[in-house]
Amino acid sequence: MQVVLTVNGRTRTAEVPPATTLLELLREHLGLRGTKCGCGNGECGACTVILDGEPVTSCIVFAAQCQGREVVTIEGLSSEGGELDRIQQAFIDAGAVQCGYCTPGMIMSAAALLAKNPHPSRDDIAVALSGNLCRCTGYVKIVDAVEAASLVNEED
Amino acid sequence: MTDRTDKSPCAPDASSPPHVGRSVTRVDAEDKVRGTARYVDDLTFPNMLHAALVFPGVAHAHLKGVDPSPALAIPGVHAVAVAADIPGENQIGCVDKDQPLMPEDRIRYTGDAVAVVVADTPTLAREAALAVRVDTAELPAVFDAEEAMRPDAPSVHDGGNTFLHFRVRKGDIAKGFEEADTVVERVFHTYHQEHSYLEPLGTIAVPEEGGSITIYGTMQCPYYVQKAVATVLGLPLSRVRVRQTVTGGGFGGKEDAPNEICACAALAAWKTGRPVKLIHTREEDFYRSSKRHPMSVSFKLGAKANGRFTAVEIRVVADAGAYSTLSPVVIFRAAAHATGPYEIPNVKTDAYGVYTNRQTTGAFRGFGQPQTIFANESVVDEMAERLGIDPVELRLKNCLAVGKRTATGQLLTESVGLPETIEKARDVSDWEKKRVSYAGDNGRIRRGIGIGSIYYGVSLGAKGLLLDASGAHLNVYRDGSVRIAVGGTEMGQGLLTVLCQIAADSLGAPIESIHVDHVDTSVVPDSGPSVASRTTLMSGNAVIDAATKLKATMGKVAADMLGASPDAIEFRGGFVRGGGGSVTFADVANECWLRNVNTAAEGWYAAPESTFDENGQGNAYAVYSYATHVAEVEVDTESGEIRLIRVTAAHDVGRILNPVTLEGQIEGGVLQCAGMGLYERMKTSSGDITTPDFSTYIIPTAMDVPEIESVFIEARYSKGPFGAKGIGETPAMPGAVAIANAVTHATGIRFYELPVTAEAVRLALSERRDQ
Repeated sequence: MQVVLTVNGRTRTAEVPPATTLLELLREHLGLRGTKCGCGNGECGACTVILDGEPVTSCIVFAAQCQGREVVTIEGLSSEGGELDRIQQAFIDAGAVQCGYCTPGMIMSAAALLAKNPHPSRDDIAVALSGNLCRCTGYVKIVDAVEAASLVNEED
Repeated sequence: MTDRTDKSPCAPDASSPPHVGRSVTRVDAEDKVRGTARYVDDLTFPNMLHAALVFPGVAHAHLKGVDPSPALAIPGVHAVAVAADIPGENQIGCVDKDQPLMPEDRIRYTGDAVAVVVADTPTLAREAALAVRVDTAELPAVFDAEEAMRPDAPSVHDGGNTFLHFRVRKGDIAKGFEEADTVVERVFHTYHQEHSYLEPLGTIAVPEEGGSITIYGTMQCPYYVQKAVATVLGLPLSRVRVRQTVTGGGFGGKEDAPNEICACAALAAWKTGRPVKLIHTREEDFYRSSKRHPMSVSFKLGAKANGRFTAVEIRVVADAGAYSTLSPVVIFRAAAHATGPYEIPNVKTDAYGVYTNRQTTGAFRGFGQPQTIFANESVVDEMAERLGIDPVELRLKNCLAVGKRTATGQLLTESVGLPETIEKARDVSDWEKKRVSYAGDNGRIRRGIGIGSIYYGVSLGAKGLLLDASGAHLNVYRDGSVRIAVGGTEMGQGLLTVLCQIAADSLGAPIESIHVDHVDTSVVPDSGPSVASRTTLMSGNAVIDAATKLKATMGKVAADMLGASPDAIEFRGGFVRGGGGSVTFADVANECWLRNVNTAAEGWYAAPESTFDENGQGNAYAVYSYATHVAEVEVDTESGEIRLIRVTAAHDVGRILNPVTLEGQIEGGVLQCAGMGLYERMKTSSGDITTPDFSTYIIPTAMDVPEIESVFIEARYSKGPFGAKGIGETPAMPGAVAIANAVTHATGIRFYELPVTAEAVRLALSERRDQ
């Protein structure tokens, strides 16, 4: 079947088998491999992308459900090799990255949060990230990073 | 915090190194936040096929036949590899030769795979794997280690199930218990814990020209994989090249398990002549990877009324699962450390490793110790209560220090920061005040504060001597840039960054000119595994060795350039100084190139000798790291729910190399302790895993994070890089029992099983109310 959708601001068309997930569409058909698969069951959050403004676990969303919709992935946060998004920069500065496998999904959940709630409390951040598992960091520096990013004025 | 670009040259006589000890930004962070870091599943090769494994799903059975024909009939399926296709030896055991890559006649656990199906897509390969016909006849199975030790238990291998026994004998325990005024004796149980690294196991095997093969994969131990693939394919090691890809967490779980998956893919690639990718689903990963050993630990401790420990008797039974994998090293460590970090004159420890028809168990952060720590640190607390001595005071009275001897009779001569970890944890947590004030809680929510102290022999010790050396290759290019290859792996812990710091300061090169690669076995000699908190120590010392050699050769050229004596040359902060003048590091590199002087060097570091005799006496490890955690909890006495509110984590690390990455190691370890202490138990039923996913196997989330205070003690180690010791394991060790002890302080009830779940607390509280 044919799926037409907007990915990172560009209209993309792909011919995929009917049971294809959004994650497979992004990784295997569109070559966007920044989004990771950690469980395939929507449990770990590594595959989080933003679908029409909402964070979703792309491993349990069918590509067919995304017909005509708008998807933002980690590759869409900053241009290739260009300046980093404030959340990406904050993750580096806060020491919030270890193995890095959860990082793209974590950043996308944070981006979805800050788009809706520009000044979240630490509890708000923890709740927003609670669907994204991380086994390395103990989450402390990740929450620090999102909090720091929320204090950066996007207009600056 | 970010000072990787700080190029200001330091004064030549400055005593502190420019980079070591500072929070240099992780060198791999930008790729990881952009999503451009390439993990194995992100790689692809021309003509690549995809594999899936065939699991009969029985725990113990005769394997009567494997018929691949129904799978081969499916369009898009290219091959099915079975045991008979193995050109070399069907053997991947890490230490003992007890594990076939694919069983030929007997299945021993539900993670045993009997065939590898190769197809155009992963989905098709998995569908076809279900079509392979496997004929089995079930055998009686055994799922409990204590039962498996009985003479009439079904045998998992030929011979009995008890295949390991480590003994420690020191002094005379009969005399020691006679001298004791108080004796506490208890039995403790822990269960399977899953590593839950976020990136599942995966590999790509690529056949190359000239009859060789390259393996790409997520792993901790590329040299183990090289050996396993060479054995299975019947190739010399020189024809097997292993390249570690960016690795999404390990924690011990990617020590042994990559041997299996990589050898399966290699066999499939060999059979088809095409690159083959094999990535586990999360459920396959649960079935197929080694877990933390479930252990039962009987612990008997005697003490004088003044608190001095007089004797300890310990029996450890560890469930090794179907194959021994790393049990000989893990259970050795458990035996050597089982007393806890105390000087006790009379010791008798017996630790057994036992086969069962359950998942294999191997390395998991702490390496066999967190289970025995739960026992020893619970009993020390109970002893404190019985003697009417504060738990901190009792620990300080008995703990190891310079001049004291361990259970194996080892005299500790340097770098023992244990007493300071206890004192600092006490002071920073405000222990004395809270111990009293929390005990006064009488509402529904009761608070508690508990402590746990540990010691950890860094690196492999007496049972890993053949592996305990590491190499490094340093290449300085004519423009002064430096490329470094080592045998130790980055798995998230920050090795690449710390090695950049060590290399910059030991070579005097600008840090931004240094690049460290992930491991390629064709570049650096066998450097052993990246486990046991050994990698910074071993690879770091190997880098320093190579840098020292390079400075000797480059120093002569620099001396000539500066008109100075070679003895007066100093490399520091990107400059080379001597005779009152200075040139840049890059100038010297270029001058070497012009003069045909070699600017590449090999470094090597071998660990000091360690010993462990038949009575468990000897210098078991060259050096130990120490830690104390104090945990504070709130217990809801109606629901049993426990909230971990604060952890003070005091660690003796020898020397801090990078404060931010060190804190990251500790914070991650604290949460893994919270998992072991409160939530995590992989459950099995007749050998089947009933919690094979993150909906049923619960690990801590961002909502479960306590306030964490990291405290560092630097008891320098004379043989460590800049004085550092290992830190990888220790943060995941003292916390679980500190939490259990805090729950006891809050409720007055002691728990003898981990995790201490809300259900267990609620049940215990209601039983007490009913009495």
